[in-house]
Amino acid sequence: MDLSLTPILPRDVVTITTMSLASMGGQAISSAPASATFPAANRAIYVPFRNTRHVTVRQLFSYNGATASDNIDVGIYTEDGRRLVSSGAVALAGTNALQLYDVTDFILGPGVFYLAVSMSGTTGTLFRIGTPTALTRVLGVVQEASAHPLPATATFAAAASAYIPVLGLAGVASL
Amino acid sequence: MTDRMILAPMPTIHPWSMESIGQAMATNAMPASAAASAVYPTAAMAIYVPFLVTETRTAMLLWCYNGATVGNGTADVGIYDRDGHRLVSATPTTTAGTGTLQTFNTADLVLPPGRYFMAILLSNATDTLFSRAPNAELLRSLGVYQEATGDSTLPATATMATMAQAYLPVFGLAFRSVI
Repeated sequence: MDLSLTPILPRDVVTITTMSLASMGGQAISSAPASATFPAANRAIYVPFRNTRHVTVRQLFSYNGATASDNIDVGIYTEDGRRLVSSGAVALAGTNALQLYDVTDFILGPGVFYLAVSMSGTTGTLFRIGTPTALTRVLGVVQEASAHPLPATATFAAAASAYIPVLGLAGVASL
Repeated sequence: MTDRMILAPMPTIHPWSMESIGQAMATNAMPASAAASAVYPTAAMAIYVPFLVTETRTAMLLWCYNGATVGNGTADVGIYDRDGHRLVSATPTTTAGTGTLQTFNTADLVLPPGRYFMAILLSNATDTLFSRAPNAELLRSLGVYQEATGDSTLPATATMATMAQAYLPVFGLAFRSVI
């Protein structure tokens, strides 16, 4: 239980995703993500993760599902809800594939952060883990209504859907 | 700010967290995602689960994940220091809400880095919590304890005894006012 002895996150991070050990993957959940429609129009979903190293963030990404529709915005927030970077609203493009968002490179320091996503409608799909809503709350996921595009300051509210999307950041220019 | 060799605390901590016994639960194929409603094993018995805080945070909420049957008694949840002194607790509250989180808005508690225990106690063995059933010896090996308190209130000082229950409930704390 001594975290200084647990496996340390890689120094040269290629990606951190919501499925990583640094995020939901470190909380003993076990189910495969699947394509599902976004739960509510203009809702933002914030998934916590932690970072141990200074990482240059070059790309954000989402894992799009079987239907590409609506607009999407992907970003990173601080632990207290300040937006550090976001893609801005863009059309969801590509099915069953990663969509990359080429944000301005910036250095993300150690700490706790949120990967965030909002979509303009409920037709487009993302790969997501359908962990029950209560357990999604247990894992620290929160949401916000009327948050598309992603706001400068998040107002966290209790998660209301079984939807943990596959999102991530990349320390490399391409994946 | 320098790089860290430890992990900052996540917004919520529960038995399946890396800060607690989550890695061992994963290793033993006991993911939280397969938790199910199960009757609390013994009335008026406290369960203590260890966790670490790696940098100072403020605990704002305690909570438990209620199962399919509630309302037959009370739940008390709390945080203890490594020596068994109660730092905060909810006081007994009637269990309410099925299949959802019941939150306890306790006084904010600053937790400096260190080792602590999260504790839970149900007054009866009829109400249910979402939980897993790891072998009791496995829970012993991970530093989980129990205590027959004979009371519905978590004690001011814990007298931790050998864990004999195959029961690990989903409960914990939040370093946010929202969960």
